[in-house]
Amino acid sequence: MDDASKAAHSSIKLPSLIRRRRDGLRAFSVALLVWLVLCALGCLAGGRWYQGYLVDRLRLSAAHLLGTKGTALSAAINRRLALLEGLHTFSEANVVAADFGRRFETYAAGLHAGARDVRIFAVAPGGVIRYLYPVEGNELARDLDLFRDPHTRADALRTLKTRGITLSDPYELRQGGLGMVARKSVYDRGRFWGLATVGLNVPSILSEARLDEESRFALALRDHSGRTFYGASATFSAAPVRLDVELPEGHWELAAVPKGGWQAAVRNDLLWFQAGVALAALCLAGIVSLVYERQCRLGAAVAQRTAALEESEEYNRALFELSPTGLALCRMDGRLVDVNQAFAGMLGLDVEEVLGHSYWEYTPQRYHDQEREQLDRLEKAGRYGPYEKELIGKSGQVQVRLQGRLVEHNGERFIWSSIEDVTDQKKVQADLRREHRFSEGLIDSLPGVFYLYDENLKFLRWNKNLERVLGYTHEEIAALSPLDLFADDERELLQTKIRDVFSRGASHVEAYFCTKEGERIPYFFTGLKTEIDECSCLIGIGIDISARKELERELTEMNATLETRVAERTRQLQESRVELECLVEDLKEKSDQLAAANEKLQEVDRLKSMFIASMSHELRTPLNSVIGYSSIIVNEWLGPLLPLQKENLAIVLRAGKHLLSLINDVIDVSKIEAGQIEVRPEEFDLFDLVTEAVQQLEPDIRRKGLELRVVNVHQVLMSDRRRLLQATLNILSNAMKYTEAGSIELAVLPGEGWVEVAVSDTGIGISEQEAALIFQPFQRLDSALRGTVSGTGLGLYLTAKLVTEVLRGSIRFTSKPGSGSTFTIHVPLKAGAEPAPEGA
Amino acid sequence: MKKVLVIEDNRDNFGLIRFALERAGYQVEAAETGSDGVSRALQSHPDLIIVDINLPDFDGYEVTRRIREGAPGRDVPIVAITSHAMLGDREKTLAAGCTAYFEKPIDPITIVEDMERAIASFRAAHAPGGRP
Repeated sequence: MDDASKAAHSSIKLPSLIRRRRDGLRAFSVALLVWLVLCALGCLAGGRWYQGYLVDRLRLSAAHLLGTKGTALSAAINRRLALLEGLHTFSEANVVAADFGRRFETYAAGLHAGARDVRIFAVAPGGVIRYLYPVEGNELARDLDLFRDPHTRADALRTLKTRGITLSDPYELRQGGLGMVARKSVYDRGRFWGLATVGLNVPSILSEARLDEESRFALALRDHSGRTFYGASATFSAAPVRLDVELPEGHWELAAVPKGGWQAAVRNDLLWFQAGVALAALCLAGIVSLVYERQCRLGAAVAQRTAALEESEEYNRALFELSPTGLALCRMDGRLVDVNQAFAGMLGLDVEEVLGHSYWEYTPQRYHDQEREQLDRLEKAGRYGPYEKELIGKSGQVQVRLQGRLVEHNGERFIWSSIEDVTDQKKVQADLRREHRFSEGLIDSLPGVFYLYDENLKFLRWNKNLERVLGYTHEEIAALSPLDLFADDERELLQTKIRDVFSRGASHVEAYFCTKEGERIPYFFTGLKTEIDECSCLIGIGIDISARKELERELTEMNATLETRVAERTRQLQESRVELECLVEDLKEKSDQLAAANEKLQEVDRLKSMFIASMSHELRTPLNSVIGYSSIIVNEWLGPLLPLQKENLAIVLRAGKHLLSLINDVIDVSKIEAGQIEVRPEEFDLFDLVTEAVQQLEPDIRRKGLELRVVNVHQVLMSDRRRLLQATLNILSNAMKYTEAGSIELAVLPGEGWVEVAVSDTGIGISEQEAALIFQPFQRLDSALRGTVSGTGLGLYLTAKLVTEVLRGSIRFTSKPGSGSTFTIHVPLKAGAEPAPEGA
Repeated sequence: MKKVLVIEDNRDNFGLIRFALERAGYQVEAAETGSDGVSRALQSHPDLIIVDINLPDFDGYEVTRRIREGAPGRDVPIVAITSHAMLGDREKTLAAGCTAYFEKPIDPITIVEDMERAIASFRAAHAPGGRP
């Protein structure tokens, strides 16, 4: 589906959008609150962190300051100690000098000139101060035994032990102010000689190190015994930054804390920082909320607009879907992008079946040129049509009128078309035209005249016959009244009849048309009232009855002659009937004579058969005696016979048996032919029957030196056992009779509802000429064996009769002259009627 | 010696049968009519009765029926001799109570043997415990 239609098909619900927006506001408020809380916490945590940071920085700067001050302090002390080193070196060099005192004075004065703040330079040989400078203000020190004075004893002894410079802790001088003493032992050639001493003024050292010039930090110093000698001792308990100032002996501890404490020193910075962070957070929150608000407004506006658009889209879509006019959007190549059901319905298809196909597929070939012409118009003018063509619908062609225009969407060009099904319209128009032509043709083809006129007797329609018969032109008739077409004497009648039609609905009349030439033609007119455009009219036809009038006249004449002819004819017919009756009588008589003759004949035939049957029976009784007694004699039961006697008697016996079988066959044949043969069906096993037949003939077959093969099966039959045995014996004995050497095979072949008994031999066979006669009575094979083989000539005739007429089966044979024959008896498993009741 | 009653009106035939039977060692008694045959059969208790179907007074079927009725329980074999032309003889003779039947012409050479075989097979089939 195309983008345009996709947009139209999608839908978003407006209420859900509002709800979402409300949810958004609530979420936003919560987020803002959370944000402010987080900011406050952040401010506090940040404050703490920042405070630490500021304090650290301050401590750093304090440490830096202490470094500077410590260095300066060390430098100041070391410069003064350098004076001690000088004095020491001078002393060691001048130990032996006699004028040590003088030299000392000069040297010390020089030193003092460069270091006015040094309170005293003194040398104490053996620990007793003998030389000192300046003397003024230091009178009390003269002759002080340093090893004995309790204030100096510990230091002096230490100095003696260390051989290096020792430095006393600062102390309050008797004369006021802080002082400090540095000493070093003086040796004379390795032996202790005395002490060189310098009294230092601590305040001057401190001021040289500019400790008091610091405004931000409160500084304090304490000696290594822990006594604070500069600044407040509380400084050391206020988490100060410390620095050890290394001295030639021991160290001093320098401490710094901001004036007013650490917290106070960073408070302002911290406040500024927190204010700044809070301000930034507020600003950020403000900006975010502004942006969000704007976003929300935009979203709502979009949703509203979308909903409105959708509504309009939906409306348009509904219009599109429900429009009875077919609407189709297709690409320039004809592929259909969107169609409505009305369009698809014209084609007899569903919308889905049409989409993606090209309208060219639905356009018959003959419209292709016209179609291209319309596309040209579309290219030039941006629209095409209306024009009419046909579309190939699922169930035939559809006549449509279509028009459309070019539209652009996302840079691609499409064709919007509206299609109207005008098949019905066209059909109605065509029907109307056809109907009109039909009615014109109909009324023109009427054999008579046709007319239609209104109550004012003004002709509305008529057929050409009317003009032709009367000799008036179309215009003349249009100007005439129907009454003008008749002679004066009939007008009144006509007027009455026309009135009848308009009042009663229908009427008819016979009258004479009066032509323009004045000729009168008899006509039969009909009139029927009909309403056309709410106006009563008379519609009717007139038929020329000139011929009928003529016929009526002729008929009247003919009637007169006909009656005489009928009377004549009737008389002739009566005569022929009498003759016919005589003939029938004659025929009847002859028929009776024939029936009587036929009856007589049948009786004679029956008598013949009965005669043969009973005569044969009578013949048989004495024959039985002939056969019986001669067989006793031949068997030599009455005593031995001469060979010739025995031979001759055997001929008598054979001839007797032959005669008996002949008689038996004759009896059977005559019975069958007289229709007196009785069928006696019984149930039996064919196996037993075949066994019986074989038992009867096997000795003779063996005697003749022939091989006998028997294929026997059990098969229950409902048939005439005796006759089937007779037939089987017949064909088996035939095989024996006509086979001189080789073998005989008897086979039972059971089938579906039938069974076959087939006897094959390797005998003389049957030629084609003989084959045609083989089932005829008194026919015997014309062969060399004829003389030697006994037979009645009735055997196969009788067998065939028995098989077909008694057993309801059939017999057939195949043969090859010289190599043998096969006779097959085919019988149904059930033949004839049910067995008769016993004792019947 | 076994006793045979032969009921036969034709002397020629009777001669043939008697000849064959006596040769086989039977004692032959003759009867020329049906009534004579029935009375002799009931009096002299023969071991075998041979009856011709065509008799002057009444036929062999009637003779057989009367003998069977007159001596119930006695199982004397009765062999019927029939003529070729009489259809359905087998059923009729067996229905009347005959044990076997033979068609004319009678072959005197084989008749006795055939009769003995037929009686034996009938006895075997109708012996107590045998097939009904």
